Amino acid sequence: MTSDLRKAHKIIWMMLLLTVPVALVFAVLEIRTPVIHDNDLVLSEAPSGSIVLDNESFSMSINKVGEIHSLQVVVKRPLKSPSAVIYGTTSEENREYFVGTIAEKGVYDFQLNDGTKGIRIYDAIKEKDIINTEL
Amino acid sequence: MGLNYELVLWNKHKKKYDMWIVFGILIYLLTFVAITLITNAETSIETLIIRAFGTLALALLHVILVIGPLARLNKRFLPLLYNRRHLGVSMFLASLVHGGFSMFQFHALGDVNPIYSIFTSNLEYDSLVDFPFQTLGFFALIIFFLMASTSHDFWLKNLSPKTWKRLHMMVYPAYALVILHVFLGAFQQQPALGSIGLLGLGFVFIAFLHLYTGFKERKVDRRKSKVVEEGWEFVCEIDEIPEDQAKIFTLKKERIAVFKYENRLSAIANVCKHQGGPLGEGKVVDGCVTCPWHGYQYLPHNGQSPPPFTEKVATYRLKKVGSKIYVHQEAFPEGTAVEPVIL
Repeated sequence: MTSDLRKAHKIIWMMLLLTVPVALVFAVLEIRTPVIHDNDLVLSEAPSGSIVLDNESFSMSINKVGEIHSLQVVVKRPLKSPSAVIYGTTSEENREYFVGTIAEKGVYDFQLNDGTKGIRIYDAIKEKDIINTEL
Repeated sequence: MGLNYELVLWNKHKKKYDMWIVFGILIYLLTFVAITLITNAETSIETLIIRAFGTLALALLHVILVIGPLARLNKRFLPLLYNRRHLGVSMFLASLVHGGFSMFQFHALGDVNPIYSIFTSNLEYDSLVDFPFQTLGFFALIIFFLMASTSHDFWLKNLSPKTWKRLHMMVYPAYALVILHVFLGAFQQQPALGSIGLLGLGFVFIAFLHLYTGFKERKVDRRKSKVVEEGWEFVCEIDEIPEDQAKIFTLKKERIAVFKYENRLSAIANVCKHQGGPLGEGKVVDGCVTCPWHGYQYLPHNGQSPPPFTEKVATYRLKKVGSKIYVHQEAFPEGTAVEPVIL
């Protein structure tokens, strides 16, 4: 190699050594918790509140802070449904209201209306219930 | 070194080397598939292919990047350098499978152009954690494509060695893009301490190896002759040069190689016209200086490749005073015949 090429190599590697590690450190610091693995979702702490349902795929728990009820859904494994919508059912003539949607593995928190007595996770494409449970 | 262009210039060594590449790749892929099926049997075939070929390309890229500096530090690695091109093309093909399947899996099933989708499906360019990391891999793949498609000597000749070398030095920014692609992509979704540590250490090792070699070379470049008289610089004692080998000497920031052969001394530029290999680290074989990188040859007294080849390097005047060798600072035009010093 010519001396110019040798110099260019050195400059490139010095620049890479100064810049890339900084980006890598920031990238590692930004990694979200809980850590999601291929098989199951690993939670850094146990779900809070009273547990409504806990199986291999889902965990659901209800929290009450003051007068507000919240629902925490943990999706532990990839869903086999392309669409998953959560509805809450109230005691008033069994009316349903939209709570939210869930997708990939992770932890989801939703606020529930007063008087919610049941939770239904519904696959709108396959038109079938994934979960239907009473609180 | 070949007179006519052939798709692949096979020889016994290259065939053996390529068989090892194929064998290594197959072993890696089979091992990856076996471990994945044992630890995560639910993985889809698309995901398995994407991951297996992605990690394969990453591993091959690391091997490719260490060959250069290792060959500078130890001549035993020179055969790897000689054959490195096929490893580079293999790495590109593995990257292409990874990128192609990823594009098909994540971007080809919508109603927009898959390439357009790579850049627009996620617009969080101002976020680190949600950065559209696939764009980084896409640019790296483009660079690998340009490198693989121009790796043949036909392109080296027609692009000119200078342009070709600059194009192929793009592998360094491409490597940075790949590292960031993994750290902002796979490691955000499935971080594993072992993988993060391994890739981080791999980067640091390669960077230090290149810089260590670079600074070691700088010492050679900074060596100056203690005796300079009327344009002549003292090189060394005759006995310091082994038979059929050379003494490398730095003259006006560029290196020359003073060869001893058949009781003669000749000096030529140290940089091979093919890929810039260090001629002074080669040997005189069949009367020709032979580049240690890819075997390009030059006649020591005139710096010309033996006919029908046309490569030429600059030559220098030498003189002998007692047992001391001196070289004149001014180079002759490439291919100029210079009477060798008779010992």
